[in-house]
Amino acid sequence: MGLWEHIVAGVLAVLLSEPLLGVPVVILMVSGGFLLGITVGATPGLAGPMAMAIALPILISIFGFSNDALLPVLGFLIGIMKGATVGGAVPAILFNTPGTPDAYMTTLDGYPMAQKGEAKRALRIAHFSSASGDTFSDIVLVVCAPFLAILVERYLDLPEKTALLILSLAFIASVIGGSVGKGIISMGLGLLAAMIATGEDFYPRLTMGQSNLAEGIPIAAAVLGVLILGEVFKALEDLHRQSGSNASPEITPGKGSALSRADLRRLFPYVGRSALIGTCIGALPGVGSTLAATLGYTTAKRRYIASKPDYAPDFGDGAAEGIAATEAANSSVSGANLIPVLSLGIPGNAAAVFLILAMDSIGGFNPGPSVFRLGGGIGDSVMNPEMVMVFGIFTSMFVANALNWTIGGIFMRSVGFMARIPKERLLPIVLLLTLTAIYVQETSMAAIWMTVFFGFLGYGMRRVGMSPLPFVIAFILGQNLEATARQAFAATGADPFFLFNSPIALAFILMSSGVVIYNLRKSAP
Amino acid sequence: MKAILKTFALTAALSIVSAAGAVADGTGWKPSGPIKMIIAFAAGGGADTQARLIADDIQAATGWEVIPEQVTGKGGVNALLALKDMPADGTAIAMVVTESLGYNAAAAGNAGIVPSDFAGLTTTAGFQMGVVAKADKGWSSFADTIAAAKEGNLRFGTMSPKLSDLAFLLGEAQGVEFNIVQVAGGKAVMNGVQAGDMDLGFMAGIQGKGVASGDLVNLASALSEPLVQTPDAPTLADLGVQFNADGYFVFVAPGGMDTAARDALTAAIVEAANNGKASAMIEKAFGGAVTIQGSELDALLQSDYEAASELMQAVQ
Amino acid sequence: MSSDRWLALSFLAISVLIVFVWIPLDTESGLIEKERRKFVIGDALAPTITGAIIALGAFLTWLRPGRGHTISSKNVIWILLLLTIFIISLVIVRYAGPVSAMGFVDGYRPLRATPPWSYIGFLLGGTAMIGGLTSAASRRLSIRGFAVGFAASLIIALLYDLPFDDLLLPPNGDV
Repeated sequence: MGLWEHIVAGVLAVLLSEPLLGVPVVILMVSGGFLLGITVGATPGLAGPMAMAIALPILISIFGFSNDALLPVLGFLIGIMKGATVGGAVPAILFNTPGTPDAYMTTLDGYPMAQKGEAKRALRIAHFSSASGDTFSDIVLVVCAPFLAILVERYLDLPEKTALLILSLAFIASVIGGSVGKGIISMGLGLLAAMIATGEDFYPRLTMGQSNLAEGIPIAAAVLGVLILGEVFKALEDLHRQSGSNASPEITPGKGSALSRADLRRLFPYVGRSALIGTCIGALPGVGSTLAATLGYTTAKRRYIASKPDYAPDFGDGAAEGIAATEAANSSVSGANLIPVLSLGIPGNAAAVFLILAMDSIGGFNPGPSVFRLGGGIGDSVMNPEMVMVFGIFTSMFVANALNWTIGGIFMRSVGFMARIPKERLLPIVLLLTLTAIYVQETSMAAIWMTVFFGFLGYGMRRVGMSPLPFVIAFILGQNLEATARQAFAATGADPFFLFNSPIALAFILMSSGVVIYNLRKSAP
Repeated sequence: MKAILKTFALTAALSIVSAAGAVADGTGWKPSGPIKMIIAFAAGGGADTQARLIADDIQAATGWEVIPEQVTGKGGVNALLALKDMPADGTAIAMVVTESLGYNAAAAGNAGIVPSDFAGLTTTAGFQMGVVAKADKGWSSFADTIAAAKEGNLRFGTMSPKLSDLAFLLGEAQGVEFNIVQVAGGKAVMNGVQAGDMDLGFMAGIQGKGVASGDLVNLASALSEPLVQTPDAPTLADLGVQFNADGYFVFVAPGGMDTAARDALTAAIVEAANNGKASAMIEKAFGGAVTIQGSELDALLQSDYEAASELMQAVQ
Repeated sequence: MSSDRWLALSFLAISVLIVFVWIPLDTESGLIEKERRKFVIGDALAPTITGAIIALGAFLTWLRPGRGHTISSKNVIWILLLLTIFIISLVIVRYAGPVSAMGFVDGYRPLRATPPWSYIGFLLGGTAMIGGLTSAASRRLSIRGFAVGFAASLIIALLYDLPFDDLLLPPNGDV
C-alpha cells in the first residue's frame, strides 16, 4: 500500500475512532488534554510534563495495553503538551509570574502591557503567536520526520546507529545547563542507573543482591523522581525559606479589542522569525523551549530597536512584539521536538520523554526508522500499522491546533484564577498523586522508595546547578545504546574499532567530541 | 399441597443454582482473594495480549478477580523469581515460556530456579519458529544461504542465548561462521532483518504475514517438526543440528500447590485458550491452542531443563 | 576552593569507587568475554565506560568551575525533614491496614481488594504525607493541611479504585 493509503488510514483512525459522548474518542482525548494543558500551564509550579506524567498511568488504566489505546493516550498527552505552552503566558501577563519556565520572557512585556490596561490584548497576542508558532512547527514535523527516518534507515548500519546515539547524548549533555562538566556527570549518572540489572548475563548486575532491583529501576521511578519530586522538594523548600509572598498584584483581563489586520501585519515578521528559531531548536535534542524563547526574544529585540517608530514602547515596557516573539518561539518547539522522537526514538526534552514513555508502556509502537517503512516491510499489499499510527498522531496534533485557533484563546482568558492556588497546598497533592500513579503501575512499595530516592537526587542536582534532563534522557537511551553497541560489535565480527571504521560513524564520533570541546571553550571563565 | 410444591420448586431452583456454581469454578475451589497474574513479556506484544485476554476470560467465566502484572526481563527468570516466593494457594500464577524454566533457569544457575519449585498448569500455544530471511536476498533454499555465508560472514539475528547457541551449532554443522547478533524479542529480529542490519534470523511466528505475502522466506524450521506454513523447509535435524527450539507459552504456579487449586486454575486457563476471547487471538497469532497439562507438562519442563546443559556443553 | 571543585572531587571519588569496587564485585562477566568461540562484550564494559564518563565530567567541572551553587547545611536539614515525613507516612501506608486487620484469622491479604480495608493505609498515610509537607513548607503545623490531605487522599483513592477493577492502591500489591 502506498503513502496515500497510510495517510488516509491515519486520519480516519482519529476521525472514526470509537465515539464517546458522541465525539470520536481520540478527538475527545485531544480536547481534554488540551484544556487540561492550558489549565496546568496557567498554574505556576505545575508544568506540562508533570501533568503528562500523572495522566499517563491513569490513561493506561482506562485504555489498557491494546493497539487501540495508543492514539487516545498519545492524543491526550500531546494535548497537554500543546496546551501548557499556551497557558504559561496567562499568569505571566496577569500576575508577572511565568506559569511555565519558558514563559519568563513573556512577563517582560506582558505584565507592563497589562498594567497599562491592555491585558486582554496582550493575551490575544500571546495566543495568536503561540498558535501560529505551533502550527508552523507541526507542518515542519510532518514534512521532515519521514525523510530523516528514510535517510537513517538507508545509510545507517548498526555501528553508525551506535555513533548517532553517542552524538545525541554528547550534544544533550554539553548544551543543557551552564556547565559542560556537570551536564556530563548528569548524563553519566543516568547511564549508570540504566545499567542496573540490565545486560545480557542472567546475573542482574550492579544490584548489590537486592531482589527489588532485579528487574532494574522502573523507568517511572527514575524519571518522575528526578523531574517531578526533585522539583517539588526544591519548590517546597523555597516556600519554607520565603517569609510571606511578594507576588505582583493581579490584573483582570478587562475589555480589549480584537487584533486588527494592521496589528497582525506588524507582528507577523516577529512571529515568523521566532517560529523558525523555535522549530530549529526544537528539532535538536536537548535544547528546550526556554532557550528558544530567550533566543526568539533577543533576536526580536535587536530587530525592533533598529526599526521601531519613536512613539512605540521599548522591549520591556510593554511591546507587543516582545510577547509575540517569545510565545511564537516557545510554542514552535513542541512539534519539532517530535522529529527526533518519531524518526530516531531519541527524546529531546521532558515532554518528549513522556511521549516515549507512553509508547513504551503501551507497546506495539516503537518509534524509530521502521515506523516509516511502507508496507511495514512485510509486503506491498499490507499496511504498516505503525505508519498509520504516525499519521494518526500527526492528525491529533492538527486537531489540537484547530482547537487552539478556535476555543484556545477564549479558554485561556478564563483560567487566570489558577495562579491563586497556594503552592504549599497544591504541590504535596501533586506529589501524592505522582507516587500513587507509580504504585498502580509497579505495585510495589520498593518502587515508591526508589522514586523518593531519585527525588532527592533530582533535588540535589538542582541545588548544585546540575541539569536533571541529561540524566533522564541518558537513562532512557542507556539500554538502547548498550544493546546497539553490543550488536554492532557482534555484527562486525568482534571488531573493536567498529565506531571508527565507517566514514559516517567516524564523523558522528568526531562531532561528539567537537560539540563538547566547543561548549567547554564557550563557557570559559 | 401448594406448600409442598413451593418447597419442591425452591429446592430444584437452589440445586440448579448450586450446580451452575460448581460448574463455574470447576472443582468447587475458590481463590481466597484476587489472583495476581505475572506476565513475563513486554506490554503490547502478542504474548502480553494473550495473557491479558486469558485473564479477562477467566474473570468473566468464573468471577475470580485476576490482576495482571508485568515482570519482564532475563528471559522469564525475573518473573519466576517473583513467583517463587508467593503463596501457593492459587492467588499467584505466571505466564512464561518453556524456555524460561528450561535453558534460562539452567543458565541462571545462581538464581536458584529449578522446575521442581513450580507447579506447571498448562501450555497455551506453541511457536512456529523458523529461520527467516528477506525474499530479496534471492535465497530459495538453505543451501543458497550457506553458499552466501561462504562468501563472507552473514549476520544471524537471535532473541535468546539458547537460540544463539542453536545459530552457532547450525553454522558449525554447515561449515560456516555466522556473526550472531542477539537482540531483545522477535519484533527486534524482524526489524533488524527488514532494515538490513541482519541477513537472517529466528522468528517465532511473527513472520507469518510476510511469508504469506512473499516478502520473507522460511529457510528452515527450528523445530523438531516442519513448519505448518512452509512444510518443505528442512528442520534443524535435517541440517545436522541435534537440538531444536521447540517451545510453548506456559502458565505456572508456585510449587507445593494444593491439587484442587491447581486443577481449577488449569481448567479455567484451558477453557480460555480453547473457547474464550483469547482463543481467537491464539488461533490468529500462534496457529491454535496447544494445552499440555499435568504430568505430561511436568515431564516436558523437566526434560527441557536437563537438555539445556547438553546444549551449553555443545557450544563450548 | 570553589564549591564546584569540591563537587568535581566528590564525583571523581565516586567514579573510582564505581569502576574499581562496585563493578568488579557486582557483575558476572568481565569487560570482554569469549562465548561460542568468539569475543563478545561482557556485562562490565558499559558500566566501566559509564564510570569513565562520570570521571570525565568531574574533570571538566574541575577545569571550568562555575560560581555559587552548593548544598548548605540548611539544605541538609530540609532533606532530613522531608525524609522523616516520608518514612512516617510510608510506614503508615504499608502497615496501617495489616495492623487494623489483626483480628481476622487470615489477616489482611484476603481483604486487600475490599473496601474499606483496602483504603486504610492509603488514606492515613496520604493524609500524613500531604499534611506533613504542607506544614513543613509553611513552617507551622497546619490542621487545615491535614484536612486537605485527607480530602485529597480520598479523592485520589476513589479516582483509581472506583473506575478500575485491576488497580491496587498502595500498599495492596505488597501484602
